[in-house]
Amino acid sequence: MANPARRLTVRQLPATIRAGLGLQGPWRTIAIGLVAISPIPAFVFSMMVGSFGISGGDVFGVIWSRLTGTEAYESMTYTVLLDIRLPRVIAAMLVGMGVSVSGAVLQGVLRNPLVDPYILGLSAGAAFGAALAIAVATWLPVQLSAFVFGLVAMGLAYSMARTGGRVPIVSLILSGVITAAIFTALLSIVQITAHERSLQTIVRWIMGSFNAVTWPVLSQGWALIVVGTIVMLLLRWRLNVLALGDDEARSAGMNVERYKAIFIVSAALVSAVAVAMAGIVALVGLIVPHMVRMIAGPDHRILLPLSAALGATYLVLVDDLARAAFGVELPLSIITTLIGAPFFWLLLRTTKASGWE
Amino acid sequence: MLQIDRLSAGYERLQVLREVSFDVRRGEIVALLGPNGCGKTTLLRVVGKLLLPASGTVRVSGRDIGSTSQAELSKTVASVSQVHRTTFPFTALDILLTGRMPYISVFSSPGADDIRLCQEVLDWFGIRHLEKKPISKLSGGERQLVMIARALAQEPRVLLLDEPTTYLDLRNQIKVLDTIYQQARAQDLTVLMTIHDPNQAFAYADRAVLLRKLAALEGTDPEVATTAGQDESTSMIATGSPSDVLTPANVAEAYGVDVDVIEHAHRRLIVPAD
Amino acid sequence: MPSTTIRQASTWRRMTISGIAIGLLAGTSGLAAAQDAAAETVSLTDFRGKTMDVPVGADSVVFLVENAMNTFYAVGGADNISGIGTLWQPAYKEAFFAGVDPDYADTPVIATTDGAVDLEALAATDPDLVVLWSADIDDKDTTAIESSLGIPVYGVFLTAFDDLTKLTEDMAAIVGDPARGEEVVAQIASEMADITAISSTIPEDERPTVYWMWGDVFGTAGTVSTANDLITAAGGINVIETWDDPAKTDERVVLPMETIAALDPEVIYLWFNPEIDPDDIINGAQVAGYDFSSWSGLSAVQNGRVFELDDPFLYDFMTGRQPIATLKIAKDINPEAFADVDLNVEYDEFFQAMYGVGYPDYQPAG
Repeated sequence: MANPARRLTVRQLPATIRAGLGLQGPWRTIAIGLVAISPIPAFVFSMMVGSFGISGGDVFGVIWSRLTGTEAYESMTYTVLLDIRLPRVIAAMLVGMGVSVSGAVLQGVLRNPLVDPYILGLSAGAAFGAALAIAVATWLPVQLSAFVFGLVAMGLAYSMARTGGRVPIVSLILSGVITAAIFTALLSIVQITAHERSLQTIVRWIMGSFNAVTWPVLSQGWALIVVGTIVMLLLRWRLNVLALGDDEARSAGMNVERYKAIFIVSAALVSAVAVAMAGIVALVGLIVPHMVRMIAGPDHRILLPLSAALGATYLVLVDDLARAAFGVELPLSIITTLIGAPFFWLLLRTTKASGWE
Repeated sequence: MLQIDRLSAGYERLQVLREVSFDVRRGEIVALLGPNGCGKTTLLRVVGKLLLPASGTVRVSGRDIGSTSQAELSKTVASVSQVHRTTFPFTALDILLTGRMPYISVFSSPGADDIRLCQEVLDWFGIRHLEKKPISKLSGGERQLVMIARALAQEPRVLLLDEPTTYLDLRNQIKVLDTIYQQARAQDLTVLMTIHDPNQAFAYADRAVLLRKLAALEGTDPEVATTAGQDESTSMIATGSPSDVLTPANVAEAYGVDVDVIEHAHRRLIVPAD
Repeated sequence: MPSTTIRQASTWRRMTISGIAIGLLAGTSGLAAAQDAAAETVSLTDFRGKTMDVPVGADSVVFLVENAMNTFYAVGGADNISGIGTLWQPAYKEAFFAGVDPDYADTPVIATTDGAVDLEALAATDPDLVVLWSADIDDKDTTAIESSLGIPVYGVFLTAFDDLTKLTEDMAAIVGDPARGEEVVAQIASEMADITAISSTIPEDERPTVYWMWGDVFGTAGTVSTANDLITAAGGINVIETWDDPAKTDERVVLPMETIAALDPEVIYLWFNPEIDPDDIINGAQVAGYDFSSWSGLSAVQNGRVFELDDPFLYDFMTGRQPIATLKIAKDINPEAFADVDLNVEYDEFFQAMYGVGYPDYQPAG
């Protein structure tokens, strides 16, 4: 068996990955183990990285001294490490986790591997909500507006697709596209009428950033992300049943419409909070589940927890790049797109058609 | 076991099935036959509660399925549909495990017992060796067997099969039907399956139900009989043992072709007339 | 026919009176000449490198860009404006416009929604020239106006403060009063010189480091920018100067919060922000989607040295009012050095000299 950890040229990928099955044998177990624990070293690494310049040893020192109640360092060092860097790192991990699990869940519910948590009009709705609060109705809190309009858009898409008590998958995807188009048009209206100074802020928001995250901001969103993710994780086996098809699932006794609703609502809430906190971060919810499937296969019992772990690791490392690789603050979507697009191209080239519909 | 009483059903405004009534005793294998569009798939879906009827009742073990929840029903009735999509390449075992849904509580996943049971079912079907193979790599016949095995993992008393031999070559057709027959007999299962080849009914079924395609579907006035003697008040032409049902007259009425019924080595066969 | 507003010789104590007197004489005679030569045109090159012929003393000029319009007022062209675009934050400006141009209320607004010019409304004003904001010779509006109405289009694109000199000279040429243009340029230069005369006396180590905050909070001005020059002239140091990253020379830089903390500015200066006020930052409030609680450790916040250019009209430093903006900043960040400067007096004298109206009443100087 070829070593999958080496360079991923198309021909070298083991046949099982190409067939969408994941690795086999001991490699699989090792890879799964590595992914599962990856958030811990990613967290430690991220805490050591930053433009303020705190040495590795000092990072531990500062945390230790705060825990023991001594004040051995300058107060600005404490502020930077514990009030600027720490909430930002945690937010990146929570959002990465939430968005990746939501993506995996929606791919299973919609039975379509090209689905992203933003597909049902969520990102267009949230972008419009944010732009509205930034440029027009400035008394509206930006995060709240983004959250509400993101959910409104998804709700609209859902109710458009619902006929006779059932929600056919194709209808859902189509109505998601239409909803996204509606809110994009509304967003354009806001952008046209906004003064150029608001435009800068709107554009930055749309491209995604954790720069503005502080403890109060984090505290407004973390609970919903955690609860929503836990619900999806607890129900993850049911996704296997649902993924086989509506009739097959119904025949096995599943209340298909209720579970679809639970999954979609959970994924929507988590994604909407993520968008409210960080703006739109493209492609993460789409490619992280695929990366996990390449390692561990399609079984949702493993897919969801691993997506949570890998998503947290991935996004926090991306955010490290965004805030500390160059002097300036880069928008997140630029990085995730630059990484995600070639990965996606590779994915489309390697997985055989029989692995997907 | 199964009582179907004056069942009518359809889609949108199109009535496909009209006033069908028959009973199925426990342990019987019943073949549902008829031309394309006669409503046999519709009938099966209604019995499996995958579709709601326009009127009439279906009773399983004496209970009206209309007042039984999907979850309750699935412990007794399992359906296998005609076509299976393969969006995700689950292994055969994982697919069978989904059949354990009625017995697994909300926040749980299948346990060791469930896995053992599914492996046993795979053994019954002689496909245990496919346990870890992804469904995308299985042949048509193997895939069909896996889906039928999945239905049995539900531990049902009634098995509903929609054209179980579609897209299969001769060898696999025989293999699948043989397996169904053996398992049904071994576990005293009640089986209702739609088939398109009347000869399979002769070979495998205890009883047959023959349906006609409603004239309305061909765009003509349902009040006017298309052929002399056609009774449009019900979709059902006949029910009974296969030999009683599959007479040349009935076959001609249902399929619109002339056939002869011949006997060969103690078996009946339907062949097109000269 | 262009009119001139006769200005009193200002009692501005630092102004070179002789220069003004000569300028006035030359300007008056130049204008007299212009009145005779009705068909005289002047060839101008706009900021995009496009050349055009404009009738001198053109009496029907449409302005779709505010800063050039302000400059036009300054050189005495108020009566020649026949159409304007929509104003940003009009509440700050309308009193001024009405004070300078008695016919302001009747001036038609050529509807624009940030890029869409209403050609019919434009044609109705029968303009000689259209002035708009543009970096690109072939932009849609320019092409549309020129091809359908056959009117020259002057594109304004200011990136550096020196651009203002060119703009003033060109606007003065259009009005037909180049001397007045020079006067305006000279006035601005001398105002700035007065300010730097004071600020240059401040020793290097007493100059405060200033973080310039644009509307998106983490966006600041790099070392090669107008805001940077403003700070320097006001006797401060752009805090990004102390940063050792090559990106600091960009005109606009977006910084991660940690970098701002590392730079630890002594002053934070906001460009006009309708939602965020200096108090919000000092008190660590949550406003407009930003939470300033993590800014509390910065020297600027701890010392309460957070300020804002709180009037987008008055302090628009891409117009002739740059000295006013600089003065405000200077007084805020170096209060001791500029202690005997009375802002209201300075503004009033400036406005009278520049526009012929007083401040803050915007009534014509008596």
